[in-house]
Amino acid sequence: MLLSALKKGEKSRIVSIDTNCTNEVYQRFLDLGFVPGALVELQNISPLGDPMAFMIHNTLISLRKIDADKIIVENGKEETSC
Amino acid sequence: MLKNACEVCELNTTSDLRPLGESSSKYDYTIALAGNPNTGKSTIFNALTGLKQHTGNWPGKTVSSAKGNFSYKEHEYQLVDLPGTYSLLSNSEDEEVARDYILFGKPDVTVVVVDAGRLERHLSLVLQIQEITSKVVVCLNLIDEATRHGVVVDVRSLSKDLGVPVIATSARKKEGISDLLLAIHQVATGKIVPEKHEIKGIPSEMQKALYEVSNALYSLDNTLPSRSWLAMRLLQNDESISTALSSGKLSTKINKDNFRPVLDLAIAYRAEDGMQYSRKFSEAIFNTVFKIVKTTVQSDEQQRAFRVDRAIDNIVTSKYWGFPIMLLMLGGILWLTIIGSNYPSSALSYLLLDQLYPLLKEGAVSIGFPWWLSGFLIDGVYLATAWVVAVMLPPMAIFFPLFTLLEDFGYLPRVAFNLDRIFNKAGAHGKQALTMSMGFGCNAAGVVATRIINSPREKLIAIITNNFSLCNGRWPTQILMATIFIGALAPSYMSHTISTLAVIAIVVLGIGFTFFTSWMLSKTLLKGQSSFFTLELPPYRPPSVLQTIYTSLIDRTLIVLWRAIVFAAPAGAIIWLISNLHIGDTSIAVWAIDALNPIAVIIGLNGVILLAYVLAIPANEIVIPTILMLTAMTLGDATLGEGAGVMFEVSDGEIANILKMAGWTTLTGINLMLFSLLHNPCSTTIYTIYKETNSLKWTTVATFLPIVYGVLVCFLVTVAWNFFS
Ligand SMILES: Nc1nc2c(ncn2[C@@H]2O[C@H](COP(=O)(O)OP(=O)(O)OP(=O)(O)O)[C@@H](O)[C@H]2O)c(=O)[nH]1
Ligand SMILES: [Mg+2]
Repeated sequence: MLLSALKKGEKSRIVSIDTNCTNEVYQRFLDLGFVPGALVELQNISPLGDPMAFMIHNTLISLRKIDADKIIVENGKEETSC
Repeated sequence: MLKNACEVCELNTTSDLRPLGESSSKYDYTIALAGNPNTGKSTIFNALTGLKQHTGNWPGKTVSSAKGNFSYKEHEYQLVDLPGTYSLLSNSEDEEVARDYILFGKPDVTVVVVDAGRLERHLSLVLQIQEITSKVVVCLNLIDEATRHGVVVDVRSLSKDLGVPVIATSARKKEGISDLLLAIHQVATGKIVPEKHEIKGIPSEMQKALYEVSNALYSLDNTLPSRSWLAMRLLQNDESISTALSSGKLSTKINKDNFRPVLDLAIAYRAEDGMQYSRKFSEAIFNTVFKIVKTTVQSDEQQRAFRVDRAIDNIVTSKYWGFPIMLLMLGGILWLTIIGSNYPSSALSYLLLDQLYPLLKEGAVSIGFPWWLSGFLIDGVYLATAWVVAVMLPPMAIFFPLFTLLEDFGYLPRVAFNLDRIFNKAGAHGKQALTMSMGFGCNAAGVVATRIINSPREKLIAIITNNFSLCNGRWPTQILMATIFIGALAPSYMSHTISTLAVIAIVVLGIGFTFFTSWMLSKTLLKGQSSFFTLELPPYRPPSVLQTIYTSLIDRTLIVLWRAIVFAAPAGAIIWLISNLHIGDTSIAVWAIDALNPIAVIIGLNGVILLAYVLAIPANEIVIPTILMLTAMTLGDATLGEGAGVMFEVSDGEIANILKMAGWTTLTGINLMLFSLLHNPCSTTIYTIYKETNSLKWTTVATFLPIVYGVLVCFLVTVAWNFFS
């Protein structure tokens, strides 16, 4: 499912990043640690519904919905493991 | 000065450090400070050089590199503070300055500053830099914060895994700085030779391509820095790099002809694997990083500090509380400014205007100054300067430290997070909220801060609209007018609150104009959609209150005093001159005021205000002093005769009396507040806009658009006011 479909407080693992996005966007995702296998949690949603703040590698990163949709995560819930 | 035992002890290597401040041309080694945004590079820079680079708890605070010197043991060093950069692999413009320096600046040592609590992310840049140079020192900063967050790093084994010195520091408390110096010294002088790190897991065909292309570059110029990086870029089809190489910009030994075969080689490999190179490379780096982190870092995510951050975020970005809290923060700062500046303001005016002014006048008489000389110097130059100091300095000196505290705490990125949706709809960049916030301190600083915005279109929008953030030089005007004309209408126990609300209304109106103008520009002159951006929301960092108040007070006070002398003194001279030079039997000032008055009245202002805005183009700080001096002069012209342009007495009540005597009404006060929000930027800001945009056209737009708004809004308010009253 898409990253933006997470609910507040829900965690999941990144499966892949849409390879159609431009190199710059792709690279920035990698730089920020959005790599396959990483655990992300949707921590906050802006008062107006967009953007959203994701906790990844102990860092809180804000993405607009349209950009978060370029990231695909595992379906369903997962318990904290690492 | 007496030194205590620790300072002279052999083991305390900091005692060998001598900060030398501003960069001089004499030094033995160049040291670069690289690292992700917001890791404390500028804080370290300040600790070593003794300079005062601005620091702040949000990514992107530093936008251009700064240089400073220090000496340590027997050598002198030049230290370069770079803007933050996430990686060398992207080609985003906001990171260009830092990337270019790291790659081609040939520093003797590159210190990579990383966040000890977030190594999974930050080590990637370390590995990338190690690909370019082996002379690397890793500074494991924010160790105090990592500890608070329950992260423990095994420094020794990290150093062994990376093959370079790793030094744990806590830059704000200046802890670990002496070890860092020693490591820099040892790597610079060659006493320690760090290992060159190999990134494992790069597919072999890709390794081959990289190897061959970088070898081909080596055979053209064996001193060319960052060859493997260049090779990667060529394989990725980065045209700016192939142009830079073939035009001889990166090396004088390389030209169009001998570069052609290298490019062909790269193109041949490129055809096989396309864009996959950098992605494979990044993935390999990340895998290496994760392996290193797994063995060297222990963390406890359930730490209390994390929960606190999370709890704060849940409130300040919540659906119901997010916006009210922003207004409350703003209101709180303003309220403290209004209350806090009362006392120092009256103390300063008592000192400078009630006491010193008559003394100076008497002194001038006793040493036999002619009336025009004492008038020019004391009634003109001195008074204007004294006014700026008495009326403008206290609110500015209080507002700024408070704002800095909020900035250091880490609240500004949350504001950006809350407002982003509106900026998005307006076709503007999400980081514009940050540059807008910086504008509340100073518009010129806000304009420079727009360099964090990548897309030129969105950067222009941010520049043009920055003026709608009330700058520090305009707060006192707002506060004074709100107090005299609006707060005074309310019962006295509520007057501060009402004045604060009035100023908040103006701020919100300014933000409204920012959104509206951004939207309008995105639909017309600067057509386009809002572009991709990410924003890191840094952890909350309890600000070091006393230090912040101390430095920003000293900083601010000095800057304001300096500006007071540079701008207010000449303005005072001009005011005195135009009040005392006559055409026929009216002074130039009265003549100009009478000429401007008919136009001014239409927009609910008066001739004095308009003339003051013309005279105050250099700096917003001098608007109110100019208005007061001109008003006193026109009022007193008949009675004072020679030496017109005089003004004393400064309490709010007195000022109110004088203005009311000169025919000011509540409408005049309100319109002055509006016009102070909506008029041309000060000369410094205009110049900065020109430097940033490099375009006369956009500088003109940014200068005149606000005036058009101001005239329109004041006119409409006047019409409405007259209609209803
Ligand atoms: N607790 C703590 N805070 C620190 C430390 N070092 C820096 N800070 C704070 O971290 C924030 C960022 O510091 P800066 O020096 O501005 O960071 P920078 O790396 O120059 O940031 P950019 O210029 O945006 O790339 C500031 O609020 C500092 O006061 C530290 O060791 N411990
Ligand atoms: Mg900095």
